[in-house]
Amino acid sequence: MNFAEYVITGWVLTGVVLGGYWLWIEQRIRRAERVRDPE
Amino acid sequence: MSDRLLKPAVSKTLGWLSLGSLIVLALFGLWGAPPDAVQSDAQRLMYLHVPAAWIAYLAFGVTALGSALWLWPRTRATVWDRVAGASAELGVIFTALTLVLGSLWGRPVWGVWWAWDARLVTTAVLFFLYLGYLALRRIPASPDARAKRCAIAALIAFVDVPIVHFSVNWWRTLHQQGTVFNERLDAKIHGVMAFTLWFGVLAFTLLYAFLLDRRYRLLALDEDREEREVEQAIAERVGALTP
Repeated sequence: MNFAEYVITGWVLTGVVLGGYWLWIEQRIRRAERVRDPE
Repeated sequence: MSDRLLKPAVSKTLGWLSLGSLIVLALFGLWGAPPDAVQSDAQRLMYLHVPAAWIAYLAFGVTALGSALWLWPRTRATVWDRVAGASAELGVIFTALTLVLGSLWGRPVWGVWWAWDARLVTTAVLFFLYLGYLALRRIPASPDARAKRCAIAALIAFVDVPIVHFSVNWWRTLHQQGTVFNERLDAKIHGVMAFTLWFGVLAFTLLYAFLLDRRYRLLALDEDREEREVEQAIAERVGALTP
């Protein structure tokens, strides 16, 4: 693949940013739900 | 007042659909689609850059719509302020991705990471405008006062969206004109490459809908917690004053 360093960086970066953002949201939702409804 | 935008089962299904479509997009974007005759494999970044830009437009459009619905007295409801806030954050993330992916593509194809080009500059302005909007949402105020000033700011910031889109027609730019939505509506992409691009738009739209629902849920939980903390503080103050 030509320009592989740019292409792979772009795809990996997109995955990390979007995946990281989703995980951050889920972690905070879980924490907020735990505080609201303690067992 | 609902603290969810979608039913949990619908949200979960949307999440799995997003994941599945993103995997298919990666397969086509990295292997299925042929290299471009001019740009070679650098073209593979376009299968992310273009959908990210589309989602940025969509997200800021939803923010503007939510803001207008909140400002209109007949439709005013907390749900619209939350939708606007959640969508703006997604818009900022997708605009940042658009800029970074464009820069990664620009280096091998244009020979530069950045150019002071109308499309690039107006997109950077868009990013900073909505970053300011997100900062505005964080300034402490009563829910109504915050929603009102944010709604006005969102509608003002949205003026930049058509400027970004038409910048390639209004000014002479290094950035190419629209590949699909150009002045003649004459698509300059065909076959597997066109399919991959459209599939990318679909996959990112599904992901946007899923993330919007999750971010909305988090906003609702945060606002609920803030409300309970205020009520608790008032109760403690009243208790302390009562002999």
